[in-house]
Amino acid sequence: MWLLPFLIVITAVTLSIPLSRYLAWIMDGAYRAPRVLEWFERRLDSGPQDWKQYTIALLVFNAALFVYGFIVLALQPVMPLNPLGRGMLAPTTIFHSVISFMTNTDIQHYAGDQHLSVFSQLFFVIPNLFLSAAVGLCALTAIIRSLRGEETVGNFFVDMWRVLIYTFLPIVLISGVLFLHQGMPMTYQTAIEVAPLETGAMGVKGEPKTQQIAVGPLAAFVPIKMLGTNGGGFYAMNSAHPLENPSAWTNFLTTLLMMLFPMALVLMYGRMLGRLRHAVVIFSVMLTVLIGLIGWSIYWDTLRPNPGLTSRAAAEFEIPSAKAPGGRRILAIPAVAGLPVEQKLGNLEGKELRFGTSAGATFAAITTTFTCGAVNCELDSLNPLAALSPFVGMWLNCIYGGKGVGMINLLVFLVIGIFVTGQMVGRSPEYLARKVGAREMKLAMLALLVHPIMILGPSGLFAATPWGMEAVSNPGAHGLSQIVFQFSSSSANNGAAFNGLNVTYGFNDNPSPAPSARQWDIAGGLVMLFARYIPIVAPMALAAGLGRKKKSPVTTGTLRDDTPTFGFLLLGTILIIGALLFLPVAALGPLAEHLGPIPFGG
Amino acid sequence: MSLMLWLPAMFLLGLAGMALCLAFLSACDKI
Repeated sequence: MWLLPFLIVITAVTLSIPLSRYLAWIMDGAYRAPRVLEWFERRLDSGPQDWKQYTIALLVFNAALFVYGFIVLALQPVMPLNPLGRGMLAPTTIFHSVISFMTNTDIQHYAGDQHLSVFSQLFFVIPNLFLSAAVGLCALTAIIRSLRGEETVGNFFVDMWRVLIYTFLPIVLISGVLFLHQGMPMTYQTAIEVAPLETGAMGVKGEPKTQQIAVGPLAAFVPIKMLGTNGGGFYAMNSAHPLENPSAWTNFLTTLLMMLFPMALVLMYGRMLGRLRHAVVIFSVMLTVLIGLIGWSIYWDTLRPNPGLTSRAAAEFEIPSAKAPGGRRILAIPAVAGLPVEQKLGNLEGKELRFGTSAGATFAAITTTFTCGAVNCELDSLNPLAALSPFVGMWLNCIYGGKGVGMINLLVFLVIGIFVTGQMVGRSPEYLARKVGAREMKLAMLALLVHPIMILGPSGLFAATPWGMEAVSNPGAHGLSQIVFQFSSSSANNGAAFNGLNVTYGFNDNPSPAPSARQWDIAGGLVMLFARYIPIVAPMALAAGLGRKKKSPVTTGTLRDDTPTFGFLLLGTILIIGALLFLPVAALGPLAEHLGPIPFGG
Repeated sequence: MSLMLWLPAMFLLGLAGMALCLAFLSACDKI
């Protein structure tokens, strides 16, 4: 049970060390490229950019991605590689999907295998998986160069090239071959027709019937889906599908892939700044929280039964009885009467047991902490307290997080923590020997607050209106959790979902779409957009301002940032700010569900 | 959903969102 998470974490930490060295080498431009690749790189190099030019290039590039993605999806019915005749998606779903993939969120209000043609998968989804992932890494690199005090922070397009060609591509190719070996499909076919093993099992009247199984270029799709912490599945079932995650080995490798870059980037931050010990302290804080979240998830899900299936009463009524003392007795109604469910292995609802009993809970904690969003179990079916783990991962959004952006978010917590500590001990706060002033704090607060505002604002609106009430599949606290999870996932650019939420419009000619699908599409799209770019832009400005400041001499009174004490300070800052922002909604959602009446709590 | 109305509306909404992010960048520079 504990072996799988232990092996995954140990392997990821071990591999992130050499990878961080390689990443720093690549992003510092210390490599010598083969002549052909160098030619392309020179064509892309439009010269050094200051932080503002770099950020404008980043935003304009993403706007171009939006236009491109919108056109590809809007033209889906008339494009080739569409033998199953996939039609026109609803315009709001196109809006939501394009923003979702361009912001590295990949939350889907459609089912990939049912609503997208192979052309859309190849020319909309896969390019976005690479490009959106590279953008966050480029932003972090520019921030590091700013913090080093450099006037120009490199060239956005050259950095994109370096990330895509020298880092993503080799790893994706190697892991793609490994996935092929494990039985993952790689074909331009859209579906294969098979006869079920039991003749007649599929027919309504017992007649023999064949079955269509959707296939496609999965071995090309899955590696970058995981490595880029994208998470959007080829199949609606995502990594629980036997073709998207064929074996325990692919499950191990996919989990590893989503952890590699976010972990390595923390150490790359230290290497490029020449402050490796500082990065190790940050890494240790993140690792502590990660282990806590995985442990919490397994403890409350794999080691605890599903309360909805226990023999305890779902409801109790007082009824008249001649035999009972006092003339009345209690009638208990079991949650699921007489259902012979074995619960020794914990909560098995929504789990894919091919990967082991703890694989679902482990994956759930990791996929949300690393803002990947792929799932190999049904998050909606996690025990209420176990579901807190994915929630906390998305709310904090800085425990490794997505590629680049996780470390950027942590930088915001660092600045705030240092400022508060400076105020407490009566010294002017400094980070990397530069004074943290009012400008830095304003920008840090902007970057910090956009996340809770984007989660709590829309969640409150949808919970209070029919838009939310019509979409939830469960009443009460779990329904609120479903709404909050959707916006948490969107704002953290994660992509995971509590799948009980009814938000799919699907094709534009769908006669019975979800009642509030349009509202969910538009609100979700806007949340993903602003929660992606504001927390990139504000820290870019923060780092540029900080880097321009003169370095202060180190004295005995300087707060050292490479000690365990600093680690505790950072940990405390993250946990206290996180609790202040999200504890109330946690109390109304998962905690209330846990403490409430059976079948949803107790 | 009327494609003539909703398709351009959603396209423009996305571009307006990106324009707001660019405006935010200018505002950050002035802080």
